Amino acid sequence: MTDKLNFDTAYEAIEKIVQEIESETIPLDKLAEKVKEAKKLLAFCDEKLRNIEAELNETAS
Amino acid sequence: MSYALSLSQLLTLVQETLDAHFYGQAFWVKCEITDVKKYDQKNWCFCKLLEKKANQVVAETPGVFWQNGYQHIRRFEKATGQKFENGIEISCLVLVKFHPVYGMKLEVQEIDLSFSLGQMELARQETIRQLLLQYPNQIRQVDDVFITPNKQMPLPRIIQRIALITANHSDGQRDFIEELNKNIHGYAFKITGFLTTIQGTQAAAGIVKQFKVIQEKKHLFDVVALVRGGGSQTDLKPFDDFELAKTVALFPLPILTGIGHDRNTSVADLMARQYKVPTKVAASIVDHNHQTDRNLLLLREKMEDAVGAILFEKRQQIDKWQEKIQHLLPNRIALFKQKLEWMRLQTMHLPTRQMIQAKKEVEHLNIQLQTATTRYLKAKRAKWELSNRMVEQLAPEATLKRGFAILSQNKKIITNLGHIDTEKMLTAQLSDGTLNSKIIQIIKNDG
Repeated sequence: MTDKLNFDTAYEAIEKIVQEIESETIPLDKLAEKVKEAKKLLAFCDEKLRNIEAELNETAS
Repeated sequence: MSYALSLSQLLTLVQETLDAHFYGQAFWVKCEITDVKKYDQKNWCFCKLLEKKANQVVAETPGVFWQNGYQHIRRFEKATGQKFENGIEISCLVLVKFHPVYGMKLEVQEIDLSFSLGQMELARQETIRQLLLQYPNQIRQVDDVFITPNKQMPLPRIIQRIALITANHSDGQRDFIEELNKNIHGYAFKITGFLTTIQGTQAAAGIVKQFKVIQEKKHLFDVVALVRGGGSQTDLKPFDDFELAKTVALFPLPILTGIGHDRNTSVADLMARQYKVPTKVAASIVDHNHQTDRNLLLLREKMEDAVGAILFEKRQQIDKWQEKIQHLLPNRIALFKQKLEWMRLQTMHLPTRQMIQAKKEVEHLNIQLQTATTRYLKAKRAKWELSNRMVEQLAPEATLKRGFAILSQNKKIITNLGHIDTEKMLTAQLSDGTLNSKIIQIIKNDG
């Protein structure tokens, strides 16, 4: 998943998780896992916005 | 031998003749300008004024702008956004001047701005007409707004990799990069310059060429910024060029223009996202990223709120259950415990209790007994006293004293007539003695 991850896919994944949490379609025992995932994606987006180096490395590789 | 004039005499005559003929007259002349030489410090400009017909020059004369006329060049450039340079067509007010040394010149007094603007507008309108005509499926006009494939391309959520088309070392380049790099949010950008001349007759072709270079590696960029600084005194004409406008309209990466003219809008501007000046293009990119950043923050808050709400609800549920359990099971135990405790106490205090009870009962009985005895004795005494009084009252001595007598016959007290023997003596005992008497007559009471 991380290989194909870019800003847009991360953003959409966050949107999906938030929607799922809001509509309470996530079972309670999966909630923590989903929140953790969303937080990871949020951190990824934040990093992308403020650090172009990551983008450059990705393009190069 | 004929008399020969000196050259100066002849040319002075020409001068005087022309002066006399054109004295006080000025003429509006439509012409093209070429060989423009501007002396900015002196506020002079020399050029050639010419007229072409079918690409052939049919008239040509030197022209000059002195200080007064030079102000009109400045006004022209400001108003039209077009540089005063070779090849442009103007309508100007001229004086015919002749000098024996410098020859004839037309001294330009004024430039007709409305004519120039009209000319430019015509060229511009022609470009637009051709665009709509040649690309009817791609380029459309709705009122004053143009709908193009480029304008309709959505911007990516974040704009970071920017292909910048501008002139090297230009104000536009510097302003654009500065504005991006000074953003207070710390957003990072990668700007790749595609430098070309953006003024003059070669500008349009140069810009189109750079667009082609970018198109070949478009996957490396999020957007193209087409910027130019220098304000309105620079040439807008290349951006009304058909080829350039077409390239912009159909370009496969979103284009943001900041062509640096606050009065006119070029055709290229109309085909893309227009931001007037380079700093505004940069600011809009920063704003765009900031919007995404804010949306991320909102998503985070939404998530935290939603999770908070779920946890709150579940916690309440658990609390409810706990309360229920506390009130159900432990309640039974507590009840049972209470019962046990009661029973224990009962067992423990039973003898004492019984004794106390017995004692109490005895006491009670005692009191009852005492009361009953007292009452009984009282009653007895009262009865006795009554009897006593009655005995006293009934004693014969007392009766006799009150005037009564006790009758007896043969020592038997007579209480009624039936017991009387009339033949015998009747004794009547009084209080102080006895009478012996004979019965003479018996009279019975009536009834």
